[in-house]
Amino acid sequence: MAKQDSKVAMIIVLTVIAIASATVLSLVHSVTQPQIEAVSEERREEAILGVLPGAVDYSEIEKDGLTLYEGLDEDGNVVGTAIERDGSGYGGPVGLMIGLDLDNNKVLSVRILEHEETPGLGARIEEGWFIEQFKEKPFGDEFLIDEDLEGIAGATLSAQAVGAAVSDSIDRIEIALAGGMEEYIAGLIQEVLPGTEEHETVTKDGIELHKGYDAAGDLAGYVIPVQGDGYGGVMELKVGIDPNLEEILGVTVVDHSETAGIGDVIAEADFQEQFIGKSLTDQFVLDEDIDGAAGATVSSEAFVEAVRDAVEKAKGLN
Amino acid sequence: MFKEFIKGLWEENPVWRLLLGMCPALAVTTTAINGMAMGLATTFVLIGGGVVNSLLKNIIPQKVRIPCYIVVISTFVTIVDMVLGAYFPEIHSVLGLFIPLIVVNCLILGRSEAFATHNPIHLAIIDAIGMGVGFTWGLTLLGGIREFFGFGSIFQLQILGDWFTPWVVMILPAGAFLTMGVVLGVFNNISEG
Repeated sequence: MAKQDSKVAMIIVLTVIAIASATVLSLVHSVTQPQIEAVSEERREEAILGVLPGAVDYSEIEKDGLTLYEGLDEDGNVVGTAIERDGSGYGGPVGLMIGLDLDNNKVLSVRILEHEETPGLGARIEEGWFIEQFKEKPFGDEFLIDEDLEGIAGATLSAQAVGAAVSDSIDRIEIALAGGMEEYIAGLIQEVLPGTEEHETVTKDGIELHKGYDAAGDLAGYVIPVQGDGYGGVMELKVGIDPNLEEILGVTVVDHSETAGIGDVIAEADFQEQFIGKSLTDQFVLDEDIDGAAGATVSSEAFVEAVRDAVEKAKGLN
Repeated sequence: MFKEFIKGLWEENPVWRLLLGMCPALAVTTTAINGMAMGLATTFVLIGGGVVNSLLKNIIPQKVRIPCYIVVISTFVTIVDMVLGAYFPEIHSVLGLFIPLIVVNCLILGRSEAFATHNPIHLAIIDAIGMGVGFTWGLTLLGGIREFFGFGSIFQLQILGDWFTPWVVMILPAGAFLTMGVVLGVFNNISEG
């Protein structure tokens, strides 16, 4: 009997202690929770306003599963968009707040929220000079350490974690703004093949390309993805060609790393529209058939070269 | 009664004599303030857990005493975690990861098991305060030494000038073991000599 009593006692005592503990904790929780939320809210707000120069307020928006913060100036104009993101560092996650200018496709500012990197080595990602390097970088930049960004001696992984997180966030935002990956590609195809409603991706002679179809289901043209070797790094293009393989219907840049304000003219409509209507038999010589941009010969040449490449590939489809 | 308090400071100091709670002692003591904050948080849990476990010593059945102690201790640890998070976010962001681990700090369970549940409540409180103060000064000293060599400062007060190149190793895990070993050696020498 004594044994049984003690078993019952064990259960009762342990249960009572657990209930008492839960009661105390929920009381403490209800007292501290608002304060904990206020602290984290305050930190987030400070970080958001910190990476969006000129912002005095922000509003939270959801886009395709991403939480974005739009920074607003005193007159309520959008000055930039911030996104919070974790990079994977050497010691653990590196929490970042990234401020982006979505109108001009460039980075505004980056801030390290938290990290567990090695003091004196990886922890130097917090230093001003390192973070400053991200300012004004175009979206197409690859953010590679030692190429696009100066690294930190002895902390390559930590530095690269920040670069990769920024680059990844930009990709995600671009895709999210287009309404998802499928929509994003469909949007690019529509841009170079006006009137396209449907598309399929096919591989022909080892070349991956998209076939666009109009509303009636007729072939609207081919889209050939090509790469160019620009001044700042690789640029990716999509070239739209008519169904009879006679002329170019449109050209667009998917990704580039050209210098903001100089080489990035290749991303502008004025430059790209020069290619529309060009015959596939054209020579595509810079400054003869196509006007290059002043001070951006290398970027323009790389672009034209890539288009020539697409034209050659298109001719091979016959 | 005074004896129960004073023993924690030196004779049975948890850091230097009992070598209990080594995980936080090595992990968080990168600066003096971190060491002190961890010591004070542990002291609070020691006192809270000690008092409650001492009060409940006749109610708790022998066989389930360890789970009961742990539930009581973890309650206090969670309170510390919430309160630090709400009112001392700076310290919480540094110690954050280690606060929940106070639950399994063998110093706390050890004092509940070895002392609080065999002694009346007033002695349990005195013992907990003594051990807590002993743990706190131990961690503060460790943190102070590491901060001095690792940053050239103590309690964030810059002591060494620009000529000093910080010994980064001192704030890395290796520095914790080096400091612990050297200080332990010195203290052993003092108490034996």
